[in-house]
Amino acid sequence: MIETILELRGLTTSFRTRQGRVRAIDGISFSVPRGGAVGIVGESGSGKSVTALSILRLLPEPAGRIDAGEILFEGRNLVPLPERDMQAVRGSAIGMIFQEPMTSLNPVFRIGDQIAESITLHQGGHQGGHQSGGRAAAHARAIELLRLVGIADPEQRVADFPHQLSGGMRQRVMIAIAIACNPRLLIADEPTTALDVTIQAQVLELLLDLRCRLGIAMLLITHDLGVIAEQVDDVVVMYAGRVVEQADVATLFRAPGHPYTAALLQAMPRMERRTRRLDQIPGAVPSPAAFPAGCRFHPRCPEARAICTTHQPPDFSLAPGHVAACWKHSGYVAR
Amino acid sequence: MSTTIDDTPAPPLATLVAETIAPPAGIRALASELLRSPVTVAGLVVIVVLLIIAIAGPSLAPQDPLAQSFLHRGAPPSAAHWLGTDRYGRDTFSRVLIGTRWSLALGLGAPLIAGVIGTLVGAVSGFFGGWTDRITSRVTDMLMAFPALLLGIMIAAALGPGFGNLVGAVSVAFVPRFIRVARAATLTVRREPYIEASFAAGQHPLRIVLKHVLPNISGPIVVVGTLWIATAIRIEATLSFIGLGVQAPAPSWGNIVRDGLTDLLGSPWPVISAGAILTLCVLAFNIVGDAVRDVLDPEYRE
Amino acid sequence: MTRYVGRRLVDAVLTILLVLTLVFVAMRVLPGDPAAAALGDMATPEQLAAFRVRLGLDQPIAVQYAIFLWHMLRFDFGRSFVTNESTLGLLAQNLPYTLQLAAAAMVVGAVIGIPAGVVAATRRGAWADYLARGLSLAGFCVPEFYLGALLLIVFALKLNLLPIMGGGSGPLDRLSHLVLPACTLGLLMGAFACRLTRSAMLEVLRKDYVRTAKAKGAPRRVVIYHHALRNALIPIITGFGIDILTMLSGSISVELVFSRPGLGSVLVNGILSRDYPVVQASLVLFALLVVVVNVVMDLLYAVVDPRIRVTA
Repeated sequence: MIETILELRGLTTSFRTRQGRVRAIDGISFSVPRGGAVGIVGESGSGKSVTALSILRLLPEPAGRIDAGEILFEGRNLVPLPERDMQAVRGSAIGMIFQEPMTSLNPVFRIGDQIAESITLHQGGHQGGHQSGGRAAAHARAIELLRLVGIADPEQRVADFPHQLSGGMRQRVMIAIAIACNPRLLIADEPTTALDVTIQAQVLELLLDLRCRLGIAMLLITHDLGVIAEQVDDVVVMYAGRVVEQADVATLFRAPGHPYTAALLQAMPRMERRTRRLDQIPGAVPSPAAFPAGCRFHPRCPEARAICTTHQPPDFSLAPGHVAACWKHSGYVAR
Repeated sequence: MSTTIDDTPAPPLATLVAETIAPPAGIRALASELLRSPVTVAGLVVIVVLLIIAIAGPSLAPQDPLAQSFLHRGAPPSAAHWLGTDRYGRDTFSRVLIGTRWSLALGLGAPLIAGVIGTLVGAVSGFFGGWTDRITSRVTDMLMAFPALLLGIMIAAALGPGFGNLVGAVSVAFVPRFIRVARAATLTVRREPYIEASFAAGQHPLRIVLKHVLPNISGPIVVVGTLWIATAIRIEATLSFIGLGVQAPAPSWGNIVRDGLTDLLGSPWPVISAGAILTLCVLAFNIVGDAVRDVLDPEYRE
Repeated sequence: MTRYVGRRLVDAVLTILLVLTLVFVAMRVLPGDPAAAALGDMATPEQLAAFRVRLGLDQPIAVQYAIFLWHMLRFDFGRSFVTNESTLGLLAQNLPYTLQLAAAAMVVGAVIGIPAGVVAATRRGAWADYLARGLSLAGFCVPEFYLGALLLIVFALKLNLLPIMGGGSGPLDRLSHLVLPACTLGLLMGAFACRLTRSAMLEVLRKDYVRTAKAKGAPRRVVIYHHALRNALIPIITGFGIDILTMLSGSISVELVFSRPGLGSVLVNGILSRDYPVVQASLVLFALLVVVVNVVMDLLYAVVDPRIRVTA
């Protein structure tokens, strides 16, 4: 029996906007096994980043708020946790890397210090313990981490400022910061989107390597199906703030259960096919202030039927580990 | 090899949360936007009242502001003298009232003069470019290193006392600032297609500047101009206080405070009241200026 | 980095040159005859003519300009028309008072304003925010001479806590004479600093690296004061530089209110007594101070922002 390290149950988050309180994600449920890798896939506006930020409770306050649901990390619900305890979790038990390496590092501090800070913040069992032995050790560990993430000449580089590094290197530094305290889970929010293609491959390889070596579980958020195919074991497909399908990678690619997933796969440009135009999914992702009634995908769905316009489909269990929220599977058991 | 989903434009959550309003066009819309905030309305009311006082001038004053009275020197407020008298026995209330004229005259006049000169120079300089533009920009940058107040004091000090010199000094102090704003705005407008079209149609460049450039840069000019009215009023008061502005016995808020300073123990009323109304006036113009900027310059929103 | 410093110094020299030229032009534009103003109504035409020759006013303007620049370069500001003492000496005596006032006001302003600005930025909508913003607005609207007069009335006249005027003699006395003027200017500086800090912090708190800091598990205190404030200091320092200059202009009226010796009073007295050498010299010195402050601010900026200091 594989242990679950992270489980989301019915997570619902909303934002305050000019149009009032608007739900960004609605009833998100999935789990990540210890040491495993799960990918969240969806277009911009699907709510995948919001999900990631919600897990670590990094939503912009007071505009953003978790309305309902549970986030179980190693069995403990993070939602009602007091801020101080949450700070102990962030960076030490769960690490996170973001999409924009160019702006995610503090421009006025040296990278070595920024990595070492991760360590010193969580020393001594309480926040901000600064023993001098601790600082020297943290500095040494920072060099070690730089080497681990594949930065050449770490002894020199450790004194550099972020603006002296390239995008790919900055992302490696971000990874070093995230894994500095040996977290059990790493959340990666579009870690390679802002990087060049060749660098993307290198960074993904690094993540894979670290996962295997350190046994860290990973939650990878991306819009890129190709990345999903190579990096994760299970996939969660999100659309307009809801989970529309969950499956392991092979099944998802071979036999997608939801029309949206199928459309995504269809839209992937492929070398073997000689096509003149790329397939698009007609229409646009709806804005959270104006989600369609019933199934949120129905206006763009080629297989929509009457019930889709009025009722949200439940999660139908197509096979063990394969779930799809689509009325065409009404023959199956709903979860 | 990367495979991506076609990105049909979808408003990400960030855009929804970050509110943007398109600026309303036209004066009417401007007025209605301004009138939304009670604070701004209060400011506008104060400005209107002061303008009325300034224009009506002597007819509103209950007493002759210059009439001295040996008997009633340094008196506290009373029925006859609402704000008391100063050390020469002059009615403070009347003096403060007349002082409004000078302050507003300069506060509105100097930015106007500076605006006209500065906008023309800035627009022409920015439009035609070349050596003259580079020199103008350098000189402007150097002058901008000085705060308007200091520049005003320095020029007024060099020119000497007197209201004419005062107007000149304060106007010159603001000219570099207007040049800079006008030039920057002109540079953006210059790239617009209708400018190209005008050139192609054979229009004389100066005509293009007058007809096309000036109206289109008026927005930012108006915004900064309104903001600087408050500064101009403050500068006038400070210069009058120092002795460089409005000369005795003509009353100006600044020189009322100056006179009153010598007899503070006896009658603090001239100082307190003149200073208070000065502060109120500057406050009102600042509030309205901020409101105008908030409406006309949407990028400035927090 | 050396390029940056070099450019700033060249700009500074050019600005000084420009200002000297402007002062020269402005003072020659004076309506009226400086000779008549200096010597009075009783002077004979021969005396006036002789005086003009002494001042070099009979020379062509280009020659006058050259002589003027030559004098300026050697810091030869001539002698006061009124007291006949060396103008340079007069300025040297008074400059320390102004510098002390400026320094004290800056300290007061920073100590009051920066924390207020941080509080205003981090506790939005709370009463602290509105209070800070209100004080800021007041600082922009209350003229310094009015604030000084009010403080004078309350603390010196009514409460008799502090001296009314002058510079004081002896270190402790001078300090007590510094308090009210420094607080006057300091409160105004505080208003500037508060507004600056608040807007800089609001900008910075939105940045991605603040989110990274939180994701590391940093407590709020660390995020605000270590990560955010350090970055906010860059625009705060540059902005403060401009405000220092505004304060310098404000010091002129404050010195007048408190009858305090300093550059401002030298200038004002010179104007009132039509003492041209003194006026000219004060203007030049003010200009010099402005340029020096600008250069120092630019250099400070380079120190604080590693992106300029350490080029990749």
